[in-house]
Amino acid sequence: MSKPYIIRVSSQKGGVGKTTVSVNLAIAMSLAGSKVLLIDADFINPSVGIHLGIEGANMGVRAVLLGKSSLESAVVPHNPSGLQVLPGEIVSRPHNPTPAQMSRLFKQVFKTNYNFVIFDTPPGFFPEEEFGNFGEAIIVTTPEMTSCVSAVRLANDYDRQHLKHGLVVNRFRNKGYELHMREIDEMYDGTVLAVLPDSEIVPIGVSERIPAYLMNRRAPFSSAIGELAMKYITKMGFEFQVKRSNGIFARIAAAFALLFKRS
Amino acid sequence: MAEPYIVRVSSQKGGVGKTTISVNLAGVLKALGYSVLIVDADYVNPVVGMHLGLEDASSGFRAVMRGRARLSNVLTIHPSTGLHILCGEISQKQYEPNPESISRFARMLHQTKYDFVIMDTPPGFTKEVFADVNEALIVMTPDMQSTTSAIRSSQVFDRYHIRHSLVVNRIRSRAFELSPREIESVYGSRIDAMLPEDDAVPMSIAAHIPVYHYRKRAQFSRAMLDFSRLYSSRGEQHEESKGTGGGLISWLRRALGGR
Repeated sequence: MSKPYIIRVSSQKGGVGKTTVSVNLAIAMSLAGSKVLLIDADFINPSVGIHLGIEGANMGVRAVLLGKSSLESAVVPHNPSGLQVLPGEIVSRPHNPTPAQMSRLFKQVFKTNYNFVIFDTPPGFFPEEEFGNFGEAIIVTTPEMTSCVSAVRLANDYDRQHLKHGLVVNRFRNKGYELHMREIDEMYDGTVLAVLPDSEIVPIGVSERIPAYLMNRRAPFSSAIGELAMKYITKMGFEFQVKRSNGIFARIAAAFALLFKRS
Repeated sequence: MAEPYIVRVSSQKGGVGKTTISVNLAGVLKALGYSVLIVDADYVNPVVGMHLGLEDASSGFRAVMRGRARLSNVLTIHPSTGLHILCGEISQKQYEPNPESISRFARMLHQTKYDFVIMDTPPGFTKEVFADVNEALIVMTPDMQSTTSAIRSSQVFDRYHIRHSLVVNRIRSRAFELSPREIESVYGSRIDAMLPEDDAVPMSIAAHIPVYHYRKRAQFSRAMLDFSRLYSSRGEQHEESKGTGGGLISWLRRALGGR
């Protein structure tokens, strides 16, 4: 069996939308028939639980890191999407994992049979001895100078670690005072994976505990996320083993995925 | 001479507007006639220079922290506002100051002649880091994630007996946002400033000046002006309590962590 493909959603600047991208991407992949595990590895400010409405889950990434629980038993399902989640704990003292704890987590992750494991991470840089250089990294940025400069710095750091990376531009409003996509392309050497429009369904989704992609799949934000999910799924060459019983939505998503694969 | 009133602008979550608040609080206080220093202590992601168009300025935060330069030698003066700024380095090399150099830095700040020193800090728990301040300003946006982290920051500041205030930024008054009342009920105290979401903010950043100087009548500028007036009286109270000689009251206030 092949190892799960690891996607690290990261940014050096905070508040650009790491959790929004991780949660919605994970849900989109999951609804398209992939087996996805979302790990809230933002040890400073875990908010995957808030986005998905599973704050109550007590066990979590911390318990797994400390060896108090196995990955399997700490994973919580997100029922509306079939996504599996390893939530973080909201505590007033942050827990900074040691490299040994992180490698134990990765070892457990590689034993699972998920297609994708998505890591939501804290803002900042990522020491190779903690996060390794598995799979690839998504760098999230907003179309502002401050955020793009930090994205480029993070990209340089990934290049040094020989970790593949791509850029997702979030909260794009196409206003005159924003950076133009051309300018962002010039600053950033890698591929721009997706441009996500600024959309109110994102904060509404958070307040309703229903991620934007689930709430309205036809919104421009959701279709951009859907395309990104399909990019990964087709890239990994996964077959769509969508069962008929998965319902109309999953079937439509799978149909779109096939279309995308052909084009 | 009175010591400066040092405000540390912080939030545990990133991207809520720490630098925006730092630059604009400083900008309005300067416009009200105070002498103000901005310290870009966000050693992870220093962007004060970018907000004010000083990317090419000599950046000296690390040099001063390491004791290799004097503050006065590496200061940058923002041309159109006259703000004094200690810029941070944008570099690929990561830097983590040690507690010793931080406390030396804090002592040095207390000896300067400014009315206000505004410190922009990195997101996260920088607890012992920059604890020697008169006040911590917690910045948040009206959503659940940010509120949770703001409450946690306030607990950390309570533990270190640092007086803290709360600023809610990017308020759009929409139904899906948390209402001020909800935020106050979790925070346990009053919100000190409510700042609206305003296009004038990104526009002013593109123009490299504080919003107040960019468009005085913008909603954000007005809210910021009200907030700064509150601050200027805080700074004066602080001087009076120093002036009465005892220092006891301020010590007591700090000891009790009183708000």
